[in-house]
Amino acid sequence: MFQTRLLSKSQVQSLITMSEVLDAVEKTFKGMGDGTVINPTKVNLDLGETASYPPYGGFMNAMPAYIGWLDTAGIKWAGGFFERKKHGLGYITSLILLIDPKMGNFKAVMDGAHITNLRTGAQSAISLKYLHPDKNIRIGLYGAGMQGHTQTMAISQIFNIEKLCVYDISPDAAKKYAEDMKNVVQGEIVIAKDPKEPADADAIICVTQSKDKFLKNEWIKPGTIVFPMGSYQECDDDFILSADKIIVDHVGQCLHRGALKELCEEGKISERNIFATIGEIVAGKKEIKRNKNERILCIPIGTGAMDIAVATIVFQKAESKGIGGTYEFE
Amino acid sequence: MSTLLLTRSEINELVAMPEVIETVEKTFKGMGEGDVINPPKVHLDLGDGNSGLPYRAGMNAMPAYVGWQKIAGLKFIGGWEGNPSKGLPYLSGMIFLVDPQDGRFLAVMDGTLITNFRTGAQAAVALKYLIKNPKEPIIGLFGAGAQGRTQALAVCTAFNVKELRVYDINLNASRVFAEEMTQKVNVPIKIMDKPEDVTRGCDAVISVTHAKNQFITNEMIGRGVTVLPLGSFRECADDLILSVDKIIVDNIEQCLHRGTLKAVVESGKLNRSNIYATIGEIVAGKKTGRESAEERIMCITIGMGALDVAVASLIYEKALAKGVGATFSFV
Repeated sequence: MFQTRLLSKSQVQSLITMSEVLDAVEKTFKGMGDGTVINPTKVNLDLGETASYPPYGGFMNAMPAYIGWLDTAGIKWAGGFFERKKHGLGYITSLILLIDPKMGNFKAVMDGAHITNLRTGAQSAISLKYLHPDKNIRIGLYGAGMQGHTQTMAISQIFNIEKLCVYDISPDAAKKYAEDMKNVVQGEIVIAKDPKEPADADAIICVTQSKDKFLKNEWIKPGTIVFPMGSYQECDDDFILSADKIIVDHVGQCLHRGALKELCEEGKISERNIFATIGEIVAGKKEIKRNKNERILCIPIGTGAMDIAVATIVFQKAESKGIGGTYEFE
Repeated sequence: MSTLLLTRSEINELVAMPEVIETVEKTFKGMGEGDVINPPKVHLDLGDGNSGLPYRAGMNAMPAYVGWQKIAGLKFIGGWEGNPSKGLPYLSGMIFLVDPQDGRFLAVMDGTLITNFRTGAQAAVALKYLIKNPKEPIIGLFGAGAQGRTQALAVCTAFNVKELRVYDINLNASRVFAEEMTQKVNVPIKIMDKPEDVTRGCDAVISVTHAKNQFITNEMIGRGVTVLPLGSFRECADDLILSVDKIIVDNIEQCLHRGTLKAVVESGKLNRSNIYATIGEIVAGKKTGRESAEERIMCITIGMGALDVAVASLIYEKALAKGVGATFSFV
């Protein structure tokens, strides 16, 4: 009865640009602040990432959302599995499903990995747009993988990156990153030998799988904005507890996954320590008057709302260009 | 890497109630034994709650891992109150299956028919452990819609039903139901004029309605009867809920906060200590179901993603074996 559009990863890639993603992410942050986006806390299916059973070392997150400015709804079901790397696959596996909120019919099923990478980059770039009013910026980057690339692409579209210092536990990965990004980054790219080096920056971006709290409080200078984007805790407890402002994308989610999880479980961090959400800042509900010596911890860990918004733009373009397959599930 | 796509009509060709009942029973057993992972479902309010959206709808995301099948999956499903009047189905749902080793998407399939089948099967499995007269039971059914049909099919598959009584607020719906289902289940179907005629002398009563008016009263339910109120709202009177001998649920957390028990829990008249057991514990042999012919038992299943994932996996394996369905490479 209803046609569902099917889109592969390469089709999604051909249909969306970073500047469109930045636009969608900014509008969706605003919607989150205005209350026109509905984004329940994601539900995790632990397939051995932290649980002792089952033994697969992976997880899947279910992330449904409704986006008012696009009048669209859907879900991303995405996860990470180390096993995938052995087969030459990306760490992330992901599908996005879009529905028409008026009747519930399924509009599209598409690969979600590319959208996830782009929107994760765009989330930090849009946050920085509101936290760092200067056009010029110096970036410190930990993690030279796929996420490192998309973070850089997104930031370079909004800022003039004067200098980018990158560190990766794999020197080859850092070298490849520097080669890939030399035409994206406006200024110089420096490959750090010591993990301390990238911390001397206006903004520090961490996109690693690290669990060992490698980013030390004493490395982080006054005035720095830190984005720990990994699934585990990348910065040490002292920094989290002494940062002047903590800003997150989704309070419920950020307290239970990633940088704040452990301290939240220990009762050292709670909702009261969160200064604002990014949505409140973008929507103008909370003003961020920055003292230039303030150290800010900003955690856009990722919301389904961003995925559904970007996927809807992809779907609209696929419809108008006739790209992808169609299928009648009902 | 290709993903199998299955339509509702393909699933309809592949699905068989006896296998669904067997799959549901094994999965309940897994829940009781602890090898099923079923996190609480997450709800997306599209106007069925306080979101202020105009769609009178909501979606649930229900992920699960089923140990005995070594499969993970997610059902995303919701109901649109306004759809039936537009000639559209009330339910809209999809199921994804992934390989838990590496997260590959194995299948994307319609989820509505599987939901109806597993909802029927979970009642049939529960009754296997709870019904007073398993030999030739008399079964009462409230609600002659799509769910009523799969309930009838499931219970008549699991038991040698002596008589199936049906009541619907829309008499015509009951007539169409009887016409359609008598052949299918090969059981005499009686259309009843009043709800109390359904329950008089019956062994079990299954309710699948949208009622909020607590029409199943305490007086209607005699000694030894098993009641399965499966609607999302309020089908049972408070004094019935508070006076039955055993309350059995599929999932304690879910059942305390939705459907039948929600209001009595919120008013403080009932709490988790009043829940006798989960169906999983009973199927796994950790708790005894019915212990006497006198007991009045209430069994409430709100539905768990694990059952959908398990049945979807059964359908997926059959589709592969028979070469049914199309494929698409998302990656």
